[in-house]
Amino acid sequence: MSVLMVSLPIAVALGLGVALLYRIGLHGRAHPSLWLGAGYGVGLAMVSFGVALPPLVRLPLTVGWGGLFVALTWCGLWLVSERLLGCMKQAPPAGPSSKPPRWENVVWGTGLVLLVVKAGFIGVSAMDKPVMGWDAVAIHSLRAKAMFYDQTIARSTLEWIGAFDYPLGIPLLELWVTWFQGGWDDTAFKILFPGFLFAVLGMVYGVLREFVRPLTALAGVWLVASLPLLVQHTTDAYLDLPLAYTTLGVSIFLWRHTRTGEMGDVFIASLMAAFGVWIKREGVVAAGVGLVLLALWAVMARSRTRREALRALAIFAGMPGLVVTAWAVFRWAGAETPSLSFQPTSLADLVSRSIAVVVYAARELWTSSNWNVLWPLFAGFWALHARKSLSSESLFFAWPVVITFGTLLAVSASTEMGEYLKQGTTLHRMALHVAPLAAVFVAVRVGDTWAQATDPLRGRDREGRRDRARPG
Amino acid sequence: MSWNMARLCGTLLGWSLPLLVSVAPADAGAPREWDFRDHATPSWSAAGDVASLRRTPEGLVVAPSGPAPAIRVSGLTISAADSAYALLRIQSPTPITEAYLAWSNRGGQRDTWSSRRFAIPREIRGGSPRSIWIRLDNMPGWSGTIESLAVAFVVGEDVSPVVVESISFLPDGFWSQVHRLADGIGLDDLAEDRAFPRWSLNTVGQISVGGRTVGGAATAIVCLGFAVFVVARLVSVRLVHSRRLTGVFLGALGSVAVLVGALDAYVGYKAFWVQWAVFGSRNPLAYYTHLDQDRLGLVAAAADLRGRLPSATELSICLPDHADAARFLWWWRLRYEFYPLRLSPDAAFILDLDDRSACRGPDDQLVLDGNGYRVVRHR
Repeated sequence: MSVLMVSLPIAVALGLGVALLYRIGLHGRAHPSLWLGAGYGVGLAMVSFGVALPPLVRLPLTVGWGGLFVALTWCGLWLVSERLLGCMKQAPPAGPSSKPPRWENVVWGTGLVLLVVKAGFIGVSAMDKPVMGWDAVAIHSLRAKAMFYDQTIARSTLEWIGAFDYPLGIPLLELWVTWFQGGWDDTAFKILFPGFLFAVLGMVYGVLREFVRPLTALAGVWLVASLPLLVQHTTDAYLDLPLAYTTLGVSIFLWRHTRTGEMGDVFIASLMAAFGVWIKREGVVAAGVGLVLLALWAVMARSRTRREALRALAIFAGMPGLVVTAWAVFRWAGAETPSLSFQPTSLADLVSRSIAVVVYAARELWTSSNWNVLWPLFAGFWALHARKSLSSESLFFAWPVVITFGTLLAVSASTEMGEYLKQGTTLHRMALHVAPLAAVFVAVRVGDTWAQATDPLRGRDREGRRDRARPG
Repeated sequence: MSWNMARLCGTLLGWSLPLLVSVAPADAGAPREWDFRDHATPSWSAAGDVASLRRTPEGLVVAPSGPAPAIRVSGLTISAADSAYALLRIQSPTPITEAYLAWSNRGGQRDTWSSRRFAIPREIRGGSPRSIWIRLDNMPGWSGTIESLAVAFVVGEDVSPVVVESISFLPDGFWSQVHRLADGIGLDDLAEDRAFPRWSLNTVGQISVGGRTVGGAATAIVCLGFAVFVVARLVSVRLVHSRRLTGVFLGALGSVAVLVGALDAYVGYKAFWVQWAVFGSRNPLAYYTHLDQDRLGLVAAAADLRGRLPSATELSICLPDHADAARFLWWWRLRYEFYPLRLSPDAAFILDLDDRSACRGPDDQLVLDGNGYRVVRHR
């Protein structure tokens, strides 16, 4: 494993993603860290879709064919974006722009240096040990290894390793990194995961700069970087961190669309949602929540033409819909897969189970060591700014968290999922999917609280500006 | 040696310790702290079943020759009143459930010897010692001036060397309490769990102090902060825009988050070095030494067999008997490790790593006789 050969597949994917986003015009409308952070995921999404195609047309799954189809995917998305989106508007990035005092710059610089040190430690830690998490060695990375040796996606592989219908996004990306190594390496492909963490941090900073001052934005990034379970997932090859990344991306770009009206942002959100579905089955939840919230926003945004709103909905639903449909057809043609069964019960029993599940979840989220103090902060700031519960930032950064937990708790209370929940194997990993969103929400509300206290007029003005940005 | 035999040895050792120590020669000097990594520190002497006693950069290496090795020192003038705790830093590849710290007061009569039993957990992976705190000031016999000391280990049949990094006696002061508390939090175990995640990708280990979790305490402080802030704002409308109140409120919340984050970062830092000690060598086979708990050479066998058997050959592995979760994890790890050979419990080919005849039938045919393993075909 050489540094160059490990970095190359990542650099190629990043380059493809950044170039597509340049075509969409994100570089002129967003903070550079958001552009780069989103470019990482968009590039990897294209790679994971492209690498899946050779076996579909009965070609061997080799670096040559894989690379060709990745290039074709990139060209296809370039053409689609040109056709769908036309010429992009170049709105300047918004956000507080007053010059911060010197002490703030010093604190910001120190915080950044410490963050780089911490990120470096996490990165080295991830790349110093082989993959060893159970899900990774038992399913995802074993699938990638099988694809590498078999040079195809064999039906027997899908049946023998994990459930037949587990999506293949991450195994295909691990295969992509392995191709550049020339042989199977139990460590090299883990480069993907520190990359996801850094991309999450970049996107969090980029989006927060549209709300708050640099120091508060950096504090928000630190809040994400100090989530122990998120850091732990960076060092092994599970699917939850990548899904957290795509869930964050969906919300950020849908929120940006509501602010700028740019269809390019919906296009990126759609690509992120499709990637999420291709990473893990739970990605459907993030895509579905995004679709519902976008529809809700379209209803609330009265001045927009209905045609424009429908177009945004169609663009957003397009790519995840395509992935879900294609995978459903594949599943239909394949083996039976186990699914959750509802456990019929009395109303009283359902209520008692629901209470037990809620109490368990609250205790776990609020007192475990996984989340620093994220969840008490999330609940506290929501309560403190309850009047803003229907603002655009609440809609896209807080409500997805609540809906995701609500879905998990509802399913847990009514199916055998409740038992998995109580074994501790489900709750925290689901919470990880939405934790970066919650951190963004907390940082935004911290900024609001401070602005309200220090400069009420400016605080109101900022709120007013945000409200004026609403289409309605 | 059976468990009962080991216990008997331990009991005998406990009774015989005073005799062992009473015949020890007096050593020069009277320290109450021994850091055996430092060659200037005077050594202790061997007693009981010790094959050899060596000084290394890691500490004093005690190689057992029997079930009850011990080390001792005499000629001390340690004031018991000023030494409420003993802190031992010991590294053992396997846990030692029974060990003794013994001492005698001035006079050294056989009947004045006392001892305190303690246990030594397995070393942290990568070879880090464990800190063992022994409270002495409430022990009968811990009084006056301590003249002789001994540490004995009941190792049974295990002849793995035990490394004593340091032994020190500390007063019941503030820093001793802080040090003891820090060691008592169990950060070493948490760090090891982070470095070698088995279940910690579902939830990381809790840091707890005195039975209370840090996460729970931090949550309580945050909730209290919100409550005070809201009440203060309700009391006075002007406080809604109070810069000072908001600053204190946000500062308090930030401090809690920073403290919890710093504690976690410290665990991560420790985990990094634990991991580095195991994997830092970058030797691919060394990656998996932590899996080869039974020293069967599974990884080497896998590497060898991948070149000798056709792809997709189905193999069954004759594993030692484990009833714990480790075996479950191990099986999945091996399935990954052996690919493109396929592990299946019902396969006709059986990989035998330990000449375990219990796994083989009388009619089985030997197919491969490799370095440290055999493959037989089940009939």
